[in-house]
Parts: sequence; C-alpha cells; structure tokens
Amino acid sequence: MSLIPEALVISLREGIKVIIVTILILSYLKEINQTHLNKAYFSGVIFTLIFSIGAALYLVIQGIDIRSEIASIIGLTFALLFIGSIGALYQYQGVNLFGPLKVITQFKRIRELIVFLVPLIMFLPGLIGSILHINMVSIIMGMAAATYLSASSGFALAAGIGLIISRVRWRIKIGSFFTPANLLLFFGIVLLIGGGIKGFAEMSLIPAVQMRVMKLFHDLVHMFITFLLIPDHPLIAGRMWNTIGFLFSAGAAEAFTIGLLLLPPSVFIYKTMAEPLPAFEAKTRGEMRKYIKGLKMERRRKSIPAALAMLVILLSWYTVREEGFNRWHNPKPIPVAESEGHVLIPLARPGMDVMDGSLHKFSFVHGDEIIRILVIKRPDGTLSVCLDACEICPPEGYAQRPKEGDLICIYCKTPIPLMTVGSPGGCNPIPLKALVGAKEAMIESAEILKKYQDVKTGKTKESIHKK
Amino acid sequence: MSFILVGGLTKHYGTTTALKGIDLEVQEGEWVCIMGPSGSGKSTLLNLIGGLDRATGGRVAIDGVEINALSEDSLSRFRREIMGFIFQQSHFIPYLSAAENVMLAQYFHSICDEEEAREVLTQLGLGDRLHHRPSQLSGGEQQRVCIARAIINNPKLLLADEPTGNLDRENTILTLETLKELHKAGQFTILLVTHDPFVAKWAQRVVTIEDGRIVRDELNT
Amino acid sequence: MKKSRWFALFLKKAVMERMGRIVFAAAAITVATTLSVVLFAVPAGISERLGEELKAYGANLVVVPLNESSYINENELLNIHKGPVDSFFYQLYGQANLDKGVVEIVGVDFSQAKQAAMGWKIHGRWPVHSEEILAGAAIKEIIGGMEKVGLSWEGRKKEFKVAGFLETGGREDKNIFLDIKEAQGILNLHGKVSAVFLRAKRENLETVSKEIERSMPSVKVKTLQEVARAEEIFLKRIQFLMAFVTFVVLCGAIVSVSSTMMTTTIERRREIALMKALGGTRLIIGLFFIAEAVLTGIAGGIAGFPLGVLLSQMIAKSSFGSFISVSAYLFFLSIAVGMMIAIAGSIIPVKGALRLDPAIVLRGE
Repeated sequence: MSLIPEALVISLREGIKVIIVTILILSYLKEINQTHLNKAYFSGVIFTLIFSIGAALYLVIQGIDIRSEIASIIGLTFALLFIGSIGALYQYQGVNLFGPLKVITQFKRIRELIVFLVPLIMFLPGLIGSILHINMVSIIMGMAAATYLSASSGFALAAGIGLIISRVRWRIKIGSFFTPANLLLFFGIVLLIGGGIKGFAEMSLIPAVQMRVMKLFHDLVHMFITFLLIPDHPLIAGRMWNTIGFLFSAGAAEAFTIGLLLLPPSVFIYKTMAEPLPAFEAKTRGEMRKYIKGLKMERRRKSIPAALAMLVILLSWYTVREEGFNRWHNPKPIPVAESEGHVLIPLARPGMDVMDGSLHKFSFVHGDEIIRILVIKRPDGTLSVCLDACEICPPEGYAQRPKEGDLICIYCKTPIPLMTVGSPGGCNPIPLKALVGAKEAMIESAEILKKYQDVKTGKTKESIHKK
Repeated sequence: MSFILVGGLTKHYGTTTALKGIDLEVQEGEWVCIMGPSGSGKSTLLNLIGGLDRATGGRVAIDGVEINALSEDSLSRFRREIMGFIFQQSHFIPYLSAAENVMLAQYFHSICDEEEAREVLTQLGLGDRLHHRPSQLSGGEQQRVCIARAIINNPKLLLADEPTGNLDRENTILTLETLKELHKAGQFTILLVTHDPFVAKWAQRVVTIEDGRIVRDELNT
Repeated sequence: MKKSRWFALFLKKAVMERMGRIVFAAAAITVATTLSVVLFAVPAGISERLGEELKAYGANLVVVPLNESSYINENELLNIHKGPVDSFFYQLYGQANLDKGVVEIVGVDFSQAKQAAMGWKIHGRWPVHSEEILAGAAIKEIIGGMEKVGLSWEGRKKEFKVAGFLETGGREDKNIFLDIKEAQGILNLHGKVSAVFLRAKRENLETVSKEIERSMPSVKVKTLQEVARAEEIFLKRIQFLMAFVTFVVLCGAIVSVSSTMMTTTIERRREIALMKALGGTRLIIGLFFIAEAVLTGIAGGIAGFPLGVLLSQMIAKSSFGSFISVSAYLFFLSIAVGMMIAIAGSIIPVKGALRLDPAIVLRGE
C-alpha cells in the first residue's frame, strides 16, 4: 500500500487532535469565566506549530532520528496525564494534594503560562515525531513533493473541519461537563488514541502501553522471586515458573493493561457518583427533592467524559486487538523424533517447504516436556534454525506477521527483523547449531537441551537485572 | 405586586366567546372562589390561568412570569414548579396505586420519594389505602389522593376545578376542611371553581362570573 | 424510590394492563424479524457447479451437452483436440448409494486431474488403481476410518478402497471421486461424460469454441465469464426477491404496530392530558410510550430469532441439501430490527397524541 495516503492520515490526525483539545480548553475556559486566557492558548498553539516545524527541520538536516525517544515522551506524557487526573480529582473534591501549587495558580501570569504550555505538552512531541515520520515516508517513497503535499492536505482538511466547527452554534455547553480532573483525563485519552506517530499501523498507544506494563509486571515478579531467595535449582525454579506462568500469558497481560487503563475513569465515575450529598437546609421537601435532582444531574454530567473515556479505551483496545494477535501466522509445530542423540528436521515434505519464507515450527518430546524449534529462511537465502524462545521472555514463542513478514515475540510483541534471526541476544530467538543438508537439518540433542534449560531456569533472564 | 395578574383575558372557541375580557388580581396566600352557573366560563378561566389552555387575547402573569410567552414545554415545567391541580373527575392513572399516583407528580417535578408520598397520604387519612388502586377507593378518598398529588411538590398555587362536584355532603365538607387546614398553614394560594354557594362560603373572596365577564368580586365575611 | 425504578414500575404496570394488545403487536414484529433473520442467514451462495469448478481447474472454457439432462460421448472428445487447446479435463457426475445415504460421485481420469486440479489438498495419496477412490473431507465424517466403501446404484454395486481424502473448501469436499470407467459402470453410462473443462489461450478462445460447436452439434461451449455472469444474475434475483418480501413484511409490521399504538394513545389520552397537567414535557411523556414500544420490539426480536433460524435451516436443507451455520450476531440483528419496527410504528401516533389539549380532555368526560 502506498505510504502517501498515510502521510495524509498522519497530518489529519494531528490536526484533529489540535481541534479536540482546542474545543475542550476554550469551552472550559468559557465555563469558568476565564476567556481572557484564550489569547494565551492560541499563542501557545502558534508557538508550538512554528517550533515543531523548525525543530523537525533541524533534526532532518542534522540527520538525527529521535522518533523512538519521542514515542517514549508521548507515552510518558500520557501516563502523567492519566495519573495526574486522579490527583486533580482528589484535589477538586477537597483533598489538598497539591498544597502550595494551588496557591500559585491564583496568579494571573501563572495561569496564562499554564494555558500557554498546554499545546506544547499536548502537541509538540507528536508534531515533531509525525513530521520526522512523514520525512521518512518521503525518503522511502522517493516522492518528497507528493508526500508533503499529501501531508499538507491532511492538515488543511483538519483546519477546514475546525473552521466549520467554530462557526456552528453549539447548543450544548461542553465546558459544563468538565472539571480540571476529567479535562486531564480526556487529554490523556486523546493521546492514548492518537499518540502514535506512525500512520495506519500504529495510531494508538495501547499496544505500547501493554508492552511496557507487561515488562514492568514481569520485572517486578522476577525481582520478588529473587528477593525471596528461591534457589536457582532447575527443578524448583522451573516448577515455580510454571505455576506463576499463567500470570504472564498474553490474555492475563491484556486484561491487566485494560484494567489499568480503565482504572482512572472508573475511579472518576465512582467518586463522582458515590460522593455523599452535602447538607442542605430546604424550606420544603419539594425544594429538597429539587436540590437533590439538580445535584444528581450535575454529577451525571460530570461523569460523562469519564464514561466516554472508558468507551473509547475499550473500542480502541478492541480494534487494536483485532489487528494483532489473530492475524499472526503461528503454525502448529510438526512433531519430529529424537534418535541417536540427534534431532532431524525435514526441510521439505509434500505440502511443506521450509525455504518458502514463512515460519515453520517443529517440536520434539523430551521426557515430559515438549521443546519447540523454529526454522525460517532469511532474506539472504540462508536458513535459520533456533529455539522457539528468547533469552528474556517466558517461552511463548514467536509468530510471523503476514504483512511485514518479520517475526514477533508473542509475549512482549517485539518485532524481530528476519535478518537478525539467528543472531543471539535481546529478544531474538536463541540460535541453534544445525547442520543443514539437502533434505534435512541435523541438530545435536545436547545443544538443544542445554539452551532450553537456560531458558527454563531463567538463567538467561539475568540480563534483565543488567538493563 | 399581585401574585396572579389577569388583564383583558379573552377566549374564543370558533364562533363562541367563552371569556370577554377578564381582569383579575389575586394576592399571594388568598383563597379565591370563582363562582358562576354552568357555561359561564369559570372553568375556562381556571384553565387559562393554569396554562392548560391558551388565551385568544389578554395576559396572564403568575409570580411575575407571563404565561402566554412560554412554549408548551416551558409551560409544563413552570406548572410543575408553581401549581397543583385538583380536578372534579379525580383523574388518575388507573393501574397505579394511590401512592404511585402521587409519586407521578414527584417524578415530573424532581425525584421520587416514596416515604414522603406515604406521609402526605397518611396525613390526609389514607394511611391504609396506599396500595389501593383508585377504582378501589370511595369518591371522597379519591379526591383526597388528588389533593395529596396536588400538594406533594409544595406548589405556591392550588387550582381546583369543582373539587366537590361529584361528592356527597359529608365528603364535600371533609375535602373543604382539608383545604382549609392547608390554607391555614399558610402555604398556598387557592383558586377554586364552583357553582355551589355552600362551597363558595369557605373561601375568603368570591368572584362571580356570568356569560364570560366578572359581575361581582366581594370578600366573604 | 429511584426515578428509574418508578419508571420501570410504571412501564411494567402499563404493559400488564394491555398485555393482549402488546402480544398482538409483538407477534406482527416476530413475523418480520423471522424473515430478516432468514434473509441474512441463508447464504446467497447458490453456486453453480460449473462456475466453481472452472475456477478450480484453471479452465476458461466448459463444454456441456445442449440438453442439460443428456451426456457427451467420449469418442466425440477427439474433436476437442482440433483446436489449439492447452489442457482439458472431463468429468461424469452422478449419484450413488453409500452404506449410509446417497452421495454425489464424480468420475474422473486421475492422471488428467493431477495435472489440472489446482487447489486440491490430498490427505493420503492419489489413487493408482481403478478400484481406489478419493473421498471429500466431508465424506470422512460419514465413513469414519473405514478403508473400504461400497458404492451402489440401481442394483449395480462395487467395493472401493479409499486412497485418500480431498480437501478444497468447496463442493468437492462432499463428493467421492473415482476412476471414470468405474463411474460409468456404476451409473450404466458407458462412454459418457457430463462436462469437459478446457484451457485455451485467450486469443484462441473464440476459435476453439466455434470449432468445437461446429464439430459437436449436440454441445454448447461456455466461457468462464458467461457462467459467472449467469450465476451472478441468478444470485442477485434470489437476493432481490428475498429482500423485497422481507421489506414488504417489515412495512406490514410497522403498519400493524402503528395501528395498535394509535388505539393505545387514543385510549390513554386522559393519562397523557393528566401527565401534561402535572408538568410532564412532551419528551418525557413520549418516552413512556416509546419505551413500551421498544419492549414490544425486543420481545418480537427475541421470538423471531429461533423461528428465523429454524426457517433458514429448512430452506437450506431443502434447497442445498445441507444445514447452514447461523452467526450469533443475527440474534442482535433480530432484536435491532424488532426495535426499529416498534419505534417506526410508534412515532407518528405518539407525536399526534402529544399534541392534544389537556383542558379539553380533562374537562369532564
């Protein structure tokens, strides 16, 4: 698929992010009678636009590619917004979390500064990253003019949409739905959904969030086990690993990530709706009922952004989920037998040819365990024979992404370019010394077993501590 | 300023003219009886003041709000805040109990409060009739449920259209005594329409309408 | 009591009060939702054998008898080589009795098939003797692990050995393939074939067709495009007919609901007037009625789904000889259609009812 439409999508997405955040900020400022801060906001937007273009240009000229750093920054911003929204919620409900900071915000200049910084925090990394990515696209396509034209059209389209929206008279007072807390939450959602800097393949941050959450969780548990000084005996460690292994299955990780993402909005809704009603002296019971009704409606209104946020998270996760796991090619391993200290992997069979470029897996039984081996042809035509496990992650194995053709670690979702398969280290599958003949590949059982033991006992996972 | 202000009010139904220019002022807390023979226009006047019908000409202002200027839904909202209605026919939702019928008024006003509905009905002597359907109640009891429904939201104005028209003497007196007690508690302005002079005597002031015009307006001694 | 609870209570009592009418309306909706389920469940894929096989064999021409129920003589097939034909592959179709039930059999020349039949996945091996057969993957379930099967037709019977199973994902999975001479023997159609699939270069298609038709007057030659187009038209007609019928029934259901709702709103106009007098806005009052309608629609939708599935299976079995799998999403579709009918049928009566004058209604009737 041509990458040029992707450039349009990227810039359109950035433009729409600007529109959404602008609508929210301006509505909110109107609601709290601070419309004099609008100027500060727009100054921030213009400054961000100019600075991002300038910075991107500088980076391109210098040949510096900081896209992965930018992705980290966006992810960090998202995390801070999400966590910060909970803090703001408590602050709003009377728990004085931020103390002195709150006093500072009484000053007009400080408030102007805060509003000025909003576009910088929300848009700057994304804009720079997107421009860098679009630049990469133009280089790959070799059609700079077309790519940049496409990107500009995306932005122009977004601007057009923004113009139309600004002309429409809105009956709903959007600002009345928001408090500082759920404003931060919503900004977080905007980043979550549109925080990726690539195009179609990576709009949402959810896979990245999931990866990091899984890694963090995995590291924490590993450190805990080490802390408990559980001996590194192959048998015991292996048993323990198997027992808690289910915690690291893809399903558990997904559930944990979604639970984490849904936590702030759920807390919001709970806190907002379950808050006890403040005391009110009413002259009549009818008046009291009216007051309660008014309060309840206010609470429902203030919960809507959080409820929307939950819906958006769930929808986004569902669509991203569809793209991932289900489409990956993960063949069932073909059983092979061990004989005379060797395992023979057939290279061709009726209906199977390991040199066809797709991932092939084989398994053999040793004792009461099933060990998997993967075989795949590299782009240079050589055959790579490895364990279906890496040095770092639980041995869930690898799948092949049909679109990109590369391998992907099922556990941590790290893509492994085919050229690096067969080289040791990191998340790469552990290479095996194999003798590749015309019809078969021969591997010594001892070699397989040794490498596999390292995987099982977590010896190779010591590398995590060094990281 | 008068609580109810009616100026030059007219109402035509096709070629028939029900009201031919009514001017009336009612102060807050007054109990006014609008009396007249059948077809005199008294019910029409009440409906126009209550916003259940639209005048052909003239104005009605209640608590400073011009009724004619309000849209249909705004009028409904205004009505539920300010007014309570008691009808001659004791209109109910037939498949709801007495308590549930009272809660219907609460539903439109704000929120439902079953305990409050129960209390009000008990105060009106219907404590053991809460879960009865209207068809299982006597005429007098039905009217008291109607009163409960009318006062549950603490309205400023009670509009009663021949509330005792279908009742016997005993129940008529019971109903009027209830209204008197409520009025004494100082909560309501009452506009009561009747053709019965006995009922009219209970009010503070009687306005007589004949053939669409006010012919007499005098205080009761 | 919460407002929502009161609302639910009111709804429940209102529904119970006029249960008969609601059941009637729900029944009308059920008919419509049943048909909606059938429309989507019955696969529009009534595939003509020819079209599928043409594509499977990489052929672009097919020779069939002019009279559909007759056959082509094998000895006439020599004429086919007269034109520049790259490859060809003939088959004989028929039915035979398996130990359990009837199965479609296809007589083929296996050496031709091996060259021409692309996309055939063989589990096992190709038959080498004439007494060996290939069974379609679906047949496997019927014959189980049996190595030998008996085929018979009109008194003629023979035992065959299963060399392998065939998987194509298409119609072939339900057939048994055997050597053409054996098939001709069982069916008593010696020297006959049902269809011949050819491959010729695109520029020669017309010459080949004309040549064959000239030398074999009892056949006609169809191109892939013709077959595909005919199929498409046929399919579209079926779909259109079903959609039309469903649409008509939907409209009928809407009208039925509408008339029920009209009666209801007239009956309840005193309630509506009272609610207006008590301060209910048109939206809130209207919601009461729409909620009733939605409940009716949901009931109709829930009832319509199992009936629709049943009807779909009956149609599929009688038309295509096999049951179909019904997607679970059709359950939600059925409910959605039911709700849509109910709401569409209610809007006009409810809107009309809300326009009433409370004073006139409450005056004293």
